[in-house]
This record gives sequence, structure tokens and C-alpha cells, in this order.
Amino acid sequence: MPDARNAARGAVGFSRTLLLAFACLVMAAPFLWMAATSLMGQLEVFGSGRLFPESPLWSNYPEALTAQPFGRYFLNSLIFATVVVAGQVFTATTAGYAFARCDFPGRDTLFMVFLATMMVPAVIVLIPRFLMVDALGWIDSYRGLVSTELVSVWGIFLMRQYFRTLPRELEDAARVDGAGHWRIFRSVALPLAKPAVATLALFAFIDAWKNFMWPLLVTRSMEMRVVEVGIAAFHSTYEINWPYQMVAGVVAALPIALLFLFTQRYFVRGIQLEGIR
Amino acid sequence: MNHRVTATAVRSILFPAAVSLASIACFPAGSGVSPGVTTLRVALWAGGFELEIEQQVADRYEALRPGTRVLLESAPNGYEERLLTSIAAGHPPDVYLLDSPDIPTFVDRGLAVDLAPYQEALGFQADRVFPQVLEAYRRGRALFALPKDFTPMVIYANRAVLEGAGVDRAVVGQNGAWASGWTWEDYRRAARSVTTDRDGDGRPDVYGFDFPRNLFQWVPFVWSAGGDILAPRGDRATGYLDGPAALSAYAFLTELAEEGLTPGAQFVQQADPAREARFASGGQAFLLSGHWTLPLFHDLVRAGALDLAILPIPHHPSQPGATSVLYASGWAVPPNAANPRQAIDLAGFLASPEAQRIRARSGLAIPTRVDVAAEIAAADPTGVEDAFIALAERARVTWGATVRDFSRVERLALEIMDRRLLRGEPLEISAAEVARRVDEVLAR
Amino acid sequence: MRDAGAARVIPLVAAGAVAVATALILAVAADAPSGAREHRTREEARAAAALYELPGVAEADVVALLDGRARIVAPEAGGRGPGAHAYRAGALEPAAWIAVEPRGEGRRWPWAASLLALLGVLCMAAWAGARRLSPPPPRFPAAPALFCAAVFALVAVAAQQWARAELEAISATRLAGGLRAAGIAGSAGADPEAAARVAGLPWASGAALGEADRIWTMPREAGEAIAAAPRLRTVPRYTVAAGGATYHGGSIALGSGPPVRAEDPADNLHLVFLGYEETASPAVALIAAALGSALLVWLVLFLLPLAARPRALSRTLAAWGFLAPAAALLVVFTFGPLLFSLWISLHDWRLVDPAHPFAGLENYRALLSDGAWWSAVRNTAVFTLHVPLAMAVALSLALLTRESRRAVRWARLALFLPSITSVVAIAVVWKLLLNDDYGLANRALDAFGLGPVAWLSSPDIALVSLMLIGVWMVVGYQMVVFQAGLAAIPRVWYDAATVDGAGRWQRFRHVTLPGLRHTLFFVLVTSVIGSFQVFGLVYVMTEGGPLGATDVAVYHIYREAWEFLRFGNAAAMSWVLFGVVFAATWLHFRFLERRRAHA
Repeated sequence: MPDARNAARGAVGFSRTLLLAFACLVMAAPFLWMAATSLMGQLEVFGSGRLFPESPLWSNYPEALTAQPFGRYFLNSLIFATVVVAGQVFTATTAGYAFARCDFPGRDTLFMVFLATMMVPAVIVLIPRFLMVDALGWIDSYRGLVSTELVSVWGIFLMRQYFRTLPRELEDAARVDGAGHWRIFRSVALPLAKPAVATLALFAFIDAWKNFMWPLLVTRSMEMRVVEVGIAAFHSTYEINWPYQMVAGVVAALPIALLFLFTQRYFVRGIQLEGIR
Repeated sequence: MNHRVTATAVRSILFPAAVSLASIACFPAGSGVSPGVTTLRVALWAGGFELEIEQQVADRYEALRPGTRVLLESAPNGYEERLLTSIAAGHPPDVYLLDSPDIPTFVDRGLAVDLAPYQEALGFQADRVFPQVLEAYRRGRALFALPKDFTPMVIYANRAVLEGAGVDRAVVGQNGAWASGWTWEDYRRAARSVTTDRDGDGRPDVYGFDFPRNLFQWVPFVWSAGGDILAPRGDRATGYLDGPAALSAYAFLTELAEEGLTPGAQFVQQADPAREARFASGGQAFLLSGHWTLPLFHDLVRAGALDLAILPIPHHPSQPGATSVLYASGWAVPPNAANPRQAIDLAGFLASPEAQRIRARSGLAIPTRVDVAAEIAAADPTGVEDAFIALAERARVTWGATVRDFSRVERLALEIMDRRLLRGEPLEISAAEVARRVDEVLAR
Repeated sequence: MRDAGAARVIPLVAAGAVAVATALILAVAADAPSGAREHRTREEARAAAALYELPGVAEADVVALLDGRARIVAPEAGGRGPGAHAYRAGALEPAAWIAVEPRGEGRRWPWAASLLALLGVLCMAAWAGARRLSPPPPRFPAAPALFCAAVFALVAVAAQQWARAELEAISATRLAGGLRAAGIAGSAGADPEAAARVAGLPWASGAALGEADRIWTMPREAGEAIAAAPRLRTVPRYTVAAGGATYHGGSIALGSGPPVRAEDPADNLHLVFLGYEETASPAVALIAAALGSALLVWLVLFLLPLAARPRALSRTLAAWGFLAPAAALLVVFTFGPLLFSLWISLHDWRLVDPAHPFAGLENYRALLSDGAWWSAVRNTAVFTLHVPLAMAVALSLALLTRESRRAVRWARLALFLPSITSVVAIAVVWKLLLNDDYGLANRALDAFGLGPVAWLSSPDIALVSLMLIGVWMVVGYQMVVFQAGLAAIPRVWYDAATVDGAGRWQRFRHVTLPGLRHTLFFVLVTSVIGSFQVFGLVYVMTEGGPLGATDVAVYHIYREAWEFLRFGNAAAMSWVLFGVVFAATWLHFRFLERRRAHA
């Protein structure tokens, strides 16, 4: 009975859409409220919990963004995040591949040792790292900013898991053709791992972009500041400019949103494995 | 396998890497050192428009001392973390802002130079500075920071709300005074009469005030009951933090809260983000705060939309008057500053009347020079500045300025009233228990 | 199949590695005193300059202070070599530059430790030579590894002993110099405070000792220790142990005459110096060097048995080639700092205090009876329970958004918004949503006739509220990872299942879930680790309140470190937390990743 089947499918599809719409609303609501708040006056914010501004104060945007040299901050954040992404993708794909696909003594122990570094609170390595970067004379430079962030154990773990998902047959075929480790990694494993690489790049970017404490400690001058530190400057001990903070929050989220829209096609589109086997 | 895809994948990794490495190499480090120019680094916590004004001060100094560059390293958030790590690494800023509650942390550890020998060379006139502020930074004859500005905690009152509730305008009186004395009973009565539910939804639309949950807010109530939270030498809490005066203050404040005169969410640690907005829009009659809130209301007051009175902390009926608490900040120089003498010179300028005059434009605090503060007050027709200065005279500096580890005391003291309001425990018990734990902290 | 060439070379390489490694340890130890010597020279110059500043002090006195090693020149001549600017009474412009010749002590070398090291290298070489004659053992050679470890430990200890003695001697001359400077200042008529400022050392007058609130110019513990030992107050030079550190101390009588009034200790000026052996001790560097050496030698020994099997060796080397970039960065920027924090956890370490006395396991012991800490750990564990819920939601959302229609693409962005927003900004929105009185959440409940919930102000509910926000915050991340995992499941599997007549649920059960196995495991482990590290949310939402109900481990650690500046305790807490998380993760690996062999 094609009719009943279509109806059932239609009902399922409709309920799916409804569910998705509801989920989107719940997830996005706080952000939307934040965006609405960014258009309010400083004393209008939160006064008796009003949702939307009486008359949107668009001038908040130019005012907040010129209150500090945000152009420079964005450039710095962009450089910082890009280098971190490049570094983490390189270190994580290679190391993840070694843990997933190479056979060497002590591999799993070593992996646990790597993983263990994720489990110590970052607060406590902050000081030793700072003292080290200071001793190297890298304070207030891009080198100091990025050097500690170039490797992510989370990323290594992600790539290891992903490489293990891939069928081994592909590599065996390449090996039979006489390809070495590096060739197999570069031309078989890595292209297949695009979804994971995209995921890793996305989160490496987000992490770097939203990093606050490290850039705060290692930079001194305005010329080296990043966006997140700039946002925090609206939030001092005694005085908090909520609308400006929300403006900065919304604007700072835009590059990540763009990146997300750009990368999502990589981790959503399946890999075409039909050609093989 | 398609080789073009592979090549693209590899390029997509290598290309950004190459570009970023090249960009690292090309961009110079931020604070480029040019020959013949001394860079002096100043650590402070100014944000937004306050930083702009501090930059004007810095520009003025650069004009006065050619060959000097002043780098303002402002960190409104994470100030202590930043300052302490740079000191630990041996590269402290040349001048840093020392908050009164941080004085023991820095001074007892020798992290501030004694500036007393340089007073004359700097033209620093100690006798022109509010004495209670200067005392906070003194140890014997030594002076460990040049005071920047300060504020007492006061009660902001919304006159329109009070009048609407039938409190006579004459009673609220002039700035700085409640016409017929100003006791806890007056405060309670006023808070009660304003707290109303106009739209009948079962919740008040106007409140008396918001609950002062933190020690830095409620300590003046204890002082204004004739007691204290610590022994005179700051080495014991038992008998003080749980003494009769303190207990009467806790009882007064918790009763007000239990009566429903304060809005909810008061237990969220950081100040209720809506409190200033509620106060300004007539949803709350009283606001306990310092001078720093004033710029927020500036436009409304000027437009006549907010009728503001600055009142002292109410006092216990048995006492003749109130004692408020005072918070200050000052410019200090670390002993291992890169350019010690120039740093001292800069600290002297940052505390000078000229700098204080520029800074007063921000309106966030009271200048520490008596004459500059008087100038500002004279230029203010509303009398608000005068009120602040008058109230500052009856205020004393926070215990944090003399007691080590005071942040731990503050943290522990939070519990006293929380336990009453959240768990219904008797105040005597929670206060005695907290006092015992504070004693342990102080003994160390 | 043996590669004879490699087998012959590698024992020699092993011995060479030991030699290089011990040399590294020795060099580290030898370097420490030279730093202290430089610092002392600078301090001597500074003291001479301060003396110059005093009225009534002749230039000859300044030169005499440093046994003629000082030269007084015009201020513009400064900047080259050790020295200091001298200023006149409270002035801000320099009056002169005092250039100082360093003491002619030369560079010294830890000979005893070197001898030990040489012995070790010789033994290792002998073993290597002997091993060439016999066939190689199949497994990792434990005996030589243990031997090397013992050699490194011995050399490191001997080197540390030597460095300590050197530093002690330098400290003693530093204190003597300070006392002399104060003495000269005193005989020129300076009061105790001015004289002490010239010496540049913590000080107290004899009369103020023992009165805790009057000796703030000297570390309180040191002052109390001197006051408690009356004999010390009349002795010119002494050392005191106070607050876990050792101070070099001394007293002089100020005044124009000879120091005859020593019987009246109240008039004496006491100076103390926290010796270089406390502040410049190379212990940390030595431990790091010893561990690094052990690692180096271990690596060589590790490769030794592999050399017999060229295939395995080439595979191992290839793997290490892949690992090298990540491993190198981790070793420098993560393992190093972690070891340092382990060292901190064994000390009373307060960041800005110059002394960080050894505390052994005291920090850990104190934790055992710290109820607030364990309640924070418990809260963290409870918080972690949000992970399964978040994973279920995230997986559903990932499945719901599997298609690539335009609308779905935007829906995905909407779902991801929580992950890209600044925590500080969004936290205040949440605070207002959950406000007791006027928050949207309670207003919505009100519309359904339900009573208000004290979301954040009730000690019983606050943690649950944070868990819900935690789900909200982490779902976007998990969803994206799931989507990447889903993308890796070959479509042919689904087609095959459909051909076999599998329904929607059966396809999920038998294709999607097994295909996602590695991804699920990854998300579970990283989310659990991440939720044990939860900090930002608590920091901006509740600061651990009300009544400690949302005090989580990392927030507790943060406060211990930055609010109370007790880094020793904070480091100990971090390592205890590490133990907890490691155990949890290990269990995951043990029980959930068993089928790995069949992947």
C-alpha cells in the first residue's frame, strides 16, 4: 500500500521537522536574546526582564567596536587561530595516524601517557608555561602566543579514532603497490579523513579564538591583544557594560559561524567508498 | 585514488602552515624597542572609557618626559593573575595599581618599593591627601603606594520611588543626610512602604533594596551597630564576627530579606546584573554601592529622569551615626622594576593633582587629593560629590588593607547569612562556627 | 635475520648516550652558582650605590666597601658590565655610575660528581663491550636501564650537594657584604631603617623582634625564630630555620663607636638573607636533566633489541617519525610544565614568595581532611552525569540533521550556536533566564500553573541547573563529532541492510551504532574528561555557590591558586583530580575498547 506508506513517511518527516525546529529554538534562544540585548541601552538591559529593546540602539555596534582597536584584535585572533589550526592539524593527523595504524612497541602505553595530559587542570600548567615562554623571551609576540597551543591531545585522539574507523583494506592495497608509510598516510588515509580533519580544524579554531587566559598572560601591548581579551575589557570588577559586551560577543561569534558554515559540508558529506570494493 | 584530490588535501594543510609561519616571521613583536626610548609599563584594570582617560594621562606624561613611552597594560579581568605571573617571572610592570584589599599580599612580601624618600623629589604633598586613604598605604614612616582614588560605600536612594510610597521628601533630606537621623528602623520602614505589588501577580514590582550578600557590602552595617568583625589587631574573629553587634546586623538584614523586601536571585554570587537597571527604572528604592556606579546614572540625572540622593549607611538605633567602609587604590612600584627611578617618577605623576584632574572626568571615584576633590565637588551642582566627600570622612578602610588572607575571610563569611536564609540555621550558630574557622585562617 | 653492523654500533651508542646525559646533568649543576654570583655582584653594586646616596659617606668608603673593586664614574659611562646608578638623597636623576669588578673566583666545577659520572660511563662501556660478544637478549634490557637510572640519580644528588655548598658560600659573602654596608652607613650616622636600606636585606631592629606586627620589614617567621632564641640576638652571625626555609642572619650594633653594646640586644640591627641555596637551587633543573637523560638512554636501550629485527626497527622509526612533531611539542610545553607542577605540589609554593620550602606530602595529607575539597570532587562527579544525556541529545540531533538541504544546514548552525558564543556573555543571559522572580523559565512555569523553581539560589537545585546548561553547551560539539563519524559509515552498508529488509530501527541498531563505535567512545571519553575540568561555567554563573553546592574541583583549584595564592595545595589538588580522572578513563578503555582487535 503505497499510500499508507507515504502517509507514514510524511508523518515521520513532519514530526522530525517539528522536533528539529523546537530543538533549534531552544538551542538558539539564549544567543538570540544576547543579540537582542546588544541593541539595548545600558540601563535598559535586564530591567524587569524585557526581551526586546524598545527601540534598537544600532549605534551600540559602531560605538563598542571603536571603543577599542578591535580591527587589530581581530587580525591577531585570526593569525593566532590560523596558526593553531595549521599546527594542530599537522601534529594531530601525523600522531593520530601513528597511534591508529603503525605497530610499534609501547604504542598503547604511550597513547595513555599522551591522553593523561588532558586530565590535569589547565590552571596548573599555566604558570610553568608562562615562566618558560618568558625565559625564552617570547612574551608579547606571536611566537609566545602560539607555541604552546600547536598540539592538541584531543585532536590526536580524534584522528586516532577516525583512522581506526577506516577499513584497513585500502592501505593494504596501497602497500601491495609498494607505497611507504608516508605515501599511504598522505595519499590514502588523509584524504579519507577529511570529515575528521574538518572537525579538528573547526574546534582548534574555536578553542584558539575563545582562549582568554593564555593570551591575557603572554601579551602586553594593545597591538598584540586578541578579541576575547578585548571583550573582557568591557567587564571590569566594578563596572560592566553589558550591551557592549553583547555586541562584542555577537561580532566575535561571526567568524566562527562562517567557518562552521564553510566546513560543515566536509563533515556531513559521506566519503564515497563505493568505488573501492 | 585520485591524485589531484590528494595534492589538494596536502596543499590545504601545508599552505596555511606556510602562510602562518611566514606571518609570524614578518610581524614584529608587539612592543618593539626603539633605541633611545624607555618604555614604562603600567599595570591597571581600567576598561572602556576609563582606559581612554588613563591614556590621556599617559600621553600627558609622555609629553612631559620626551624619550619615554608609557605602555598601559590594562586587564580589567584577570588583573591579579597577570600581575603576579609577571612578577614571578622577574619582569614586573614598572608601575602597578594596588587595590586596598591587596595591600598585605604585596607589601608584606616586599613587592612594593618604599616611596617615602622620594616624596619631596616627586612633589608629593602627603598633607593634601585624605588621611584615612594615605594611612592604608603606610607602614610606619614608609609609604608603599601613592594613592590614586577611593570611594566609600553609600546608599543611593531613588527619591521618586520613596515619595511615591509616601515617604516625605523632607525626610529623605539633602544629599549626605537623612533629615531626622537615619537608623535601621527608618530604613526598614522605608523599604516596607515601597515594596508593593501593583499589578497583582503575587510578586512585588518595587523592592526596598537588594540583599548585601558579600562581606564588602555588609561590613558597614556591623560597624554601624558599634561592633566589628575582627579584634582590634585583626588577629581574632571569635567574639567579634559572632559578637552582639555583628549578630544584630545579620538579624536586621536577614529579617528584611525574609520579609520579602529584596528581589530573588540574591544568592547568585556576583552582583545581580539587573540591580542598577531596576534602581534607575524605579523598581528599587535603595542601592548599596560605591562611587563607581555614579557614571551609569549620569545621563538620567542630567535629563531629570532620576532624582538621586546619596545617603549614609543607616545605623543601629543605639548608635549616634554610621561608619562606612572605604576602598582605595594606589600606584606602586615593584622593587625589581626594569627602570626603578623612572618608574617612581611616573608613579608620582600618575598620583599628581594634574593626573587626578584628568582622571576625575571618568567620575568613577573620588580623587585622593583633598583640593582636587573639592574642585570637582564645587563644579557639581547636584551636591552628590559633596555628599560622597562628607560620607568618606566617617568611613574607615577595609580590613583587607591590613589583614593577610582577607579574601579567605570574606569567602568564609558569606556562609553566615546564607545558612540562615537557605537552611534556616540560627545566626548565632553559623556565625560562631564561621568565626572559629576564620580564627584558624588568621592564626596561620 | 641479524643486522651485525647495527648490533656492533649500538652498544657504543648506548655508552655515549650515558656520557652525554651525565655531562648534561653536571653542566646544569655547574651553571647555578654562576647565576648567583652574578646576582651577588649586582647586589653589591646596588649596595655601594645606596651607600653613596647617604649624606656623610665619603667616596673612599664606597670604594672600601667592595675592597677596591668599585670605580665611581660619570653617570653616562654606565651600562657596560656590572654596576649600578647612584643617586643623591631621594633624587630621580643619577649622580654617578658605580662599576664593579666581579670577585675573581672563576668558574668552578663539581669534581666529585664528575668522578662518579665517569665511573658510571666506564661501567656502561664495559657492559656494552661485553654484550658485543654474547647474543642479544630478546626483550628490553632491564638491568642496564636500572643501572643508568642509579647512575643518574647518584650524579644528580652529588651535583646538587656540590651546588648547595657553593651557593651557601656565596650567600655567606652576600650577608657579610650587607652587614658591612649597614655598618658603614651606621657609623656615618644613618638610622637603622636607612642603614638597612643600604644593605638591601630584610631587617628588624632588636627591639621590634618578637612583636609580630612590628617586624613586617623582615619575614615574620624569621623574626619570630630569632626572637625565640635569645642567644642568637647577641651573636654576630647565625643561620635560622624559619617557615621551612633557612635564612642567613646577622646583627650589628649601630653607632659611631665600636660594637661594645652587644649585651644590650635591643639596640642591634638584625639583617637576614634567604640564601641562594633556597632561591637559586638547581634542584628542579637537575631533576629535569636526570629525567631527560634517563629518557634518552631508555630510548637508545629500547632500540637496542629492535636492531636485531630490521623490519620492526623500520616500522618503529617510521611511527616515531609520525609522532615526532607532536611528541616534541608535548615534551617541551606540556610534560615539562606538568613535572614542574608535580614538584610544586611537594612544596609550600606561593608564586611571589622567594622561598618555597619543601613540604613533602604535607599538601596531599592536608587534602585528606579537607571536606570542602572532597565535596567539590563529589559535585564534579555528579556534574559528569550530564554526559550521557548530552550524548543522547547530540546523537539524535546529528541523525536529524543528516541530510544536506539548505534549511537543515541553517538548523545545524542554530544548534551549534551555543558552542561558538563567549561564555561570559551567555552566562548573564542564563542568569536572567533562571532568575527566581522575573526569569523567563519561571514565568513559563507560571503559565502552566507550576510554582517557581529556585534554579540557581537553592543548594539542592543549582547543580542540576548547571548540568542542564552544561548539556546545552556541549551538545553542539558532540553533534559535530557525531556527524563526522556518521560520514565515515559507507553508504553501501545501509544499502545492504535495506536489501536485507532491515527497518529504520534495525538499520540504526545494526549499521549506525556499530559504525559509530569509535566515535561514541571518543565522545564519551573526551566529554567525561572535559566535564571533570568544568570551570568557566561555574566561574561566571555561581562562583561555587550557594553554600558550596556548585563548587567543582577545578574552580576550587583555581581559587586556591589565584585567590589564596597557595599553589602548592592547588597543584596537589590537581594531581589528585588527575588520579580520579585517569582511573575513570582507564576504566573506559579497559571495558569499552576491548573489541579493538577486531576493528
